[in-house]
Amino acid sequence: MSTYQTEEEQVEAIKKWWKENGKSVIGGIVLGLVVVGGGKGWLEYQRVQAENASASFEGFSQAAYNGDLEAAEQRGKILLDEYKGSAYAMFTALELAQLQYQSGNKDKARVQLQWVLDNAKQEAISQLAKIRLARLMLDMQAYDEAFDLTANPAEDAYQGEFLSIQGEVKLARGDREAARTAFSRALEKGVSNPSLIRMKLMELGG
Amino acid sequence: MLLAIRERAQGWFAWLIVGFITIPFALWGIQSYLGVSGDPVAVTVDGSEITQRQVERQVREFRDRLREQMGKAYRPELFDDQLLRQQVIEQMINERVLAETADDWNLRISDDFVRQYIQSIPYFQNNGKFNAQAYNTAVRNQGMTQRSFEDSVRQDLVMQQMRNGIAVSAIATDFELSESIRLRDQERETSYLTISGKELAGDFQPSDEEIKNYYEEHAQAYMVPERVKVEYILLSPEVVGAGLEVTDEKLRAYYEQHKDEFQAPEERRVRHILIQVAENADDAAVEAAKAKIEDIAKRLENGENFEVLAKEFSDDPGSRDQGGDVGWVSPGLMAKAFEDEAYSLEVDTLGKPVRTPFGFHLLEVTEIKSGGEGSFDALYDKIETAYRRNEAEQLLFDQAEQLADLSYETPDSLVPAAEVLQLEPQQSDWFDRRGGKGILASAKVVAAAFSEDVLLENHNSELIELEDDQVLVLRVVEHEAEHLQAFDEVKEKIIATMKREKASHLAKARGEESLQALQTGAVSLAQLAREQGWKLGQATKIKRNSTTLPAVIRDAAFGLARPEPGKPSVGGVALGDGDYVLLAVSKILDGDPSKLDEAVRKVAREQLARAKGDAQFNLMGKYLRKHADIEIATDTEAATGY
Repeated sequence: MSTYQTEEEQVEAIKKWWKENGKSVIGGIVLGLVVVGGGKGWLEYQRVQAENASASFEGFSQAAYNGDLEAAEQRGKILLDEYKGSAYAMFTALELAQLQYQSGNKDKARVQLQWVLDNAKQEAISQLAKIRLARLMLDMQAYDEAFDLTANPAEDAYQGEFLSIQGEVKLARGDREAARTAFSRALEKGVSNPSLIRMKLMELGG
Repeated sequence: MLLAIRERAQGWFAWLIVGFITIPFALWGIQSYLGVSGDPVAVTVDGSEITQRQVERQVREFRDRLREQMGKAYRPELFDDQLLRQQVIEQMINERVLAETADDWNLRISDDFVRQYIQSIPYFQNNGKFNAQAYNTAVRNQGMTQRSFEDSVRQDLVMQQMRNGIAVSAIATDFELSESIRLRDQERETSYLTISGKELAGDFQPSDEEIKNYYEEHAQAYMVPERVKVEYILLSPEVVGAGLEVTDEKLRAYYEQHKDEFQAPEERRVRHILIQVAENADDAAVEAAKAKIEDIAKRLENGENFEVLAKEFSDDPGSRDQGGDVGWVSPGLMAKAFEDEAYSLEVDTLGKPVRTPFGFHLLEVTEIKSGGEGSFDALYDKIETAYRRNEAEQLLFDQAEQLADLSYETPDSLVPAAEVLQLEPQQSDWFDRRGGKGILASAKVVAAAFSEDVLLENHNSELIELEDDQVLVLRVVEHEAEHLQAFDEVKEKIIATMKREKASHLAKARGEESLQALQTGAVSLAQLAREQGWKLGQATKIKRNSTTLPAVIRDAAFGLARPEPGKPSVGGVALGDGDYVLLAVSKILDGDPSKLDEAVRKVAREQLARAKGDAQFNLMGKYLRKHADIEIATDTEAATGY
């Protein structure tokens, strides 16, 4: 780069440079603003969506807490339609399953749990739905389904839950020895109803 | 010179320098945007940092809570610092994992909802209405800012949602419920016989050589730890205050000096109108609020009714409906500007608008209740107590200093200090590093007594400051190293132990042998008892919580497998006193779920579901934690022994 001789030359050079590159510079700045603004807008949109889903869930939970099944189902349905992919939708379906089960409608509960299992993007939730669905199948004496759902559980925190259900299925099918092994492994891994499983294990001879 | 710079500053070199100068300016302060803090990091959870300072704070709070719960029984050394720290960090990690998950799952609580929730907390309410001042004070007392408090509320609410979705939604199925009732209410028909170890052992007497051998083999059990006897001078407010002379004159003088402490503060009843504007609001908002409040002030000056305007305009939900009345106010309750104004106004005159963190207030004092001076006679008891406390504190301070000086000057005796303070040094009993009785249980006392200077150099300790303003200086008068108790001292004890062990050993061997026979079915419990002359108890039906049989036997009975028809389940268990019990469960009566009425069933189901829900929530926590990316800083590892 060479040094400019006079100020006029300098101004001249800048003008020339601007003529050549001005459009790209402005274009670049505008593009940058659009990207940043768009990104921000998207985040803002997501935040508002989440907050709305959250408020909707609060309303649903209130109805569920009051034991008002009809209101809960109504609000739940709206939430499930509007915020289908959100974690709140999963929470709602799980709660609905419980309410429906308690009111004696096991088939409806089954549909809800199956929906969570199919739709939850959160592995921690879908696995839980799977466990609950398997226990429901056990309760409905659909042993094949319960067994299939709990076959080959991954080695994680939920493993004990799956094993304990396997144990129940085996016991129902009359295989006491296999049930005993499953229960005792389940207790080692951790289950949600340890005192019950322990009593069952003892009854089978420890 | 300048010209030279200007000429040179035209080239590329100049631009390069400008560029370099620009960089730090451009990046200045960027760390506050990136969320990078200067604090050293203890743990990182999915990229989110837990700083060492946060850990320290939690550890401190944890210790404070322990101290509060245990009261005087609390001794810091009861809780190993490493373990405690580890536990605190574990919990912080678990909480952070959940928080990060909530974030990842896009669980959000809006500002409005947080605000609504806070306003619904009874603690911040006055007569059922939210009171912003009470809220502010409470938040500040927690050492928090409004913002950090609101963030923590938000976090709690998110966790609550997670609990609702995961734990509260747990199902206790009919099958599980009836199974657990069946097992819980189960009855087992149990009979048992006792094999007496004592009888089997007969008049077993170990030989002297055996006793000696036992003593040597179990030397560890007969060790006396290193221990000391100390003498000490203790100063406490009680000790010092006991000899204080109290005269009316002294009390009167004290009362004159501290008059304001004995006076109830003046209280004022205030009403106000608040126009809310946040502390950090922009100028336009402030101006708008100011204009509004001035407008209201003008209307009041023109004779409009305060209560009516308060109801219409005030932004303070706690007082609005009472016509602005906030009730009696005493110093220290309200924001500074509010209080100053309240205490400078005369009754029933309207003040000028004042600004507090809440916004602009327009105040009126409606009543004044003077605190008044209590007379000397009426307050006599109070004054005496205060006087004694004050004097004792002063005296204690002086004497403690004397004690420290004197015991330092004559490091190998407490006598000079005792003489000057006119106190008799007290003598302790033996105690080891686990501490002595009463005041000597303190970890500080133990540390001092076993310190090199005191124990080995035989010097006086430094002044030890204990709880409740007690101080003491001690010196060791006797010291014993760890040693084995003399054989003769423990001989009798050893004989008793050996007899018990022998009995227990024989009974167990005999019991297990018989148990094998029982298990094959070759012989029944009744037959066995008859043959051996052992006493067979009558078969009794027991439940899991029965107390008709000893707990060990009951638990053993419920630990047995379900008997097959005609073939009882048998087992054996050793008792602590050297006996051995053989037991048989011949029949099981299952609990019957259908017998429970609907209400009991419902409660049982709810309990079961709640327990399941909590357990599943914890399982999920573990699941998430295993899938999270957790990095524990190396110095944190070192500090906690991870």
